[in-house]
Amino acid sequence: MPSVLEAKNVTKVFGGGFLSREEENVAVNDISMSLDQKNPKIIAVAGESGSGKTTLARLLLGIASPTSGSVEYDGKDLTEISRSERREFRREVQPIFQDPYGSYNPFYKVDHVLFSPVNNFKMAESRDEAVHMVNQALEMVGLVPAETLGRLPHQLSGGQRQRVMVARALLLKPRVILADEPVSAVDASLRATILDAVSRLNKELGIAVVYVTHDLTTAYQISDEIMILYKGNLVEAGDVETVIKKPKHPYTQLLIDSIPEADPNKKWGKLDMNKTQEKIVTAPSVGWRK
Amino acid sequence: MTTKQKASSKSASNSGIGIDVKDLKVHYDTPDGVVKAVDGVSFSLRQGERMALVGESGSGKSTLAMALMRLTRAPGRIAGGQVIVGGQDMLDLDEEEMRLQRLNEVALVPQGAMNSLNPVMKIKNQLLDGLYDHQVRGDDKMSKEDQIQVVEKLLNAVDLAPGVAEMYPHELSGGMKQRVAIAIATSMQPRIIVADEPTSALDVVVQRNVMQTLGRLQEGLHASIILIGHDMGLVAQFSDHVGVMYAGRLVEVGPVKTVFKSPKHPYTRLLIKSLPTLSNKKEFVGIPGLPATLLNLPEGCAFCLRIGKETPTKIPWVKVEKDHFIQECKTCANYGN
Repeated sequence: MPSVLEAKNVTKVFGGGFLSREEENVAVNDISMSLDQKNPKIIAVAGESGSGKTTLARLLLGIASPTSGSVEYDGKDLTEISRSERREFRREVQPIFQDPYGSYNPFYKVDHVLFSPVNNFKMAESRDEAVHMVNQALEMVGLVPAETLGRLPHQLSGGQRQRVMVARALLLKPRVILADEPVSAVDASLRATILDAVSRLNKELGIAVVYVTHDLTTAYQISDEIMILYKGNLVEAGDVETVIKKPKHPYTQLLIDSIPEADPNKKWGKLDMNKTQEKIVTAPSVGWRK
Repeated sequence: MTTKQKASSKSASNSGIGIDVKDLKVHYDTPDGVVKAVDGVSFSLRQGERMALVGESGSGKSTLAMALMRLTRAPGRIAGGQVIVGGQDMLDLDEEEMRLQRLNEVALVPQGAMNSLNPVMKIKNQLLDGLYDHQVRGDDKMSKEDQIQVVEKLLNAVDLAPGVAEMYPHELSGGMKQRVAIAIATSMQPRIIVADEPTSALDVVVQRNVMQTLGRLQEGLHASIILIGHDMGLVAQFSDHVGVMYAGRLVEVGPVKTVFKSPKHPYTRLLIKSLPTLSNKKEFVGIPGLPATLLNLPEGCAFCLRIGKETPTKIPWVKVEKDHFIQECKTCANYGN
């Protein structure tokens, strides 16, 4: 089965080493996942802080390299691809980061983040075509071009800024979008619009999405599959409906039990913390392990 | 007065109402005009009950929390209203009297405890600091044994090991720091606890643990708690009452179960609708438009402006049923229904 992007038994260890006094920290421990070419899905990578989800995202983006195992793009190891292939990889695998403000230069208008990738990757033949593409991308994420272009980043709301980032990713006609906590810095009422945009990119344009998040509720809403990470290990993975509705691993159960549901009649926290913690340590991982 | 005497006098003067806020206004003077961050908010809360104030960023909820503690900083100022705790209007007190009320009558669990603890002070000293300042000044200093005992008791109440007393904040995890902040806030058995997004920086499992601790302590003290937050899920799980803020105004307040089941204000309705759940997948509906800018906001319904409508006149605060009130605007009442 051809996959666009595939992690094969990746492990990432920080610290340790020959002369280091620090202890080794295994941020990602032997995790495999693949993004299918033919049937692009939304895969959620969920976990709490320290679970290794962001490290896994960085490995998939080629920003960090694995200590062992490999990340393959179109079947080729990321560390071995040529310059031109890497350039193509940079276009086809687009990141969206947590803090939309951090991705902007505050002195440039938002036009800059939209037009410069178009120019860099020569996505448009002419200036008119570029403008047309940008407008289309903005509309796709629910923004009105006339109200967005020509403004400085601080003149947009957090939700708008993040949607511009989704539009930017979209402009490069990627095959994969890797979104690391794209909505955690955004107000709850605006989250829906951003996630809706991401979800539509998957459904309408066939872009595979990796959605890295700590929030199981939104993960459940938009993804097809989910991977639950705990302290660098993949503890449970599978179809999102099964994992959320019938969690098998004690950690997944604890996580779901701890989510405050917006329904006063469904009380949280039924599980006993200490007993569950004990079980988590010994339980084997559940679900696909390639 | 010793702590014990004080506690009994507190329950003696207990008239049932923990805190009564009347027409509270907090204004910021800016070069472009007055920003009414809290624009005539009224609510009351019974002793021992929990209320949550929710709203988007910029709705004025944190400004309100600070005003309840009278910690509003320039260019902000409390422009009017009353905050009555234990029969006393806090806004009438002078600075020194108010300083003594804080921690003693009204205590704050701050947002992000990581930044509110002193990094170069041991936890035990931070726990004792407030106590010293408020009750044991001058001659009757606490003995060493008493100190150790008090600290241990406070730590124990928030499920922290006695060893934490000798630690510095950087040695603690986020959840532990928040527990220390809760221990400090409850150290003088206040009547009112204001918790400003106490768990927004914590993971869900830790959040649940910390909130359960906070709830247990509050129940033990029979204190009222005002939880400020934006997480409707947390509100649904933790509070008895909920107040929804929009553009500096309270638009709906009522018992949690009623408000979640049948919200009356269109903004509350959309807020609840926009929440993703774990029970069923649904179409995402965001709230249309952008939150109102508070600068020179007109008198009329603020939510109307968001959906492109207008009501020029001030709208009334009406009672729907017991404990349930809304700002009733005829123009947008059925919006999103």
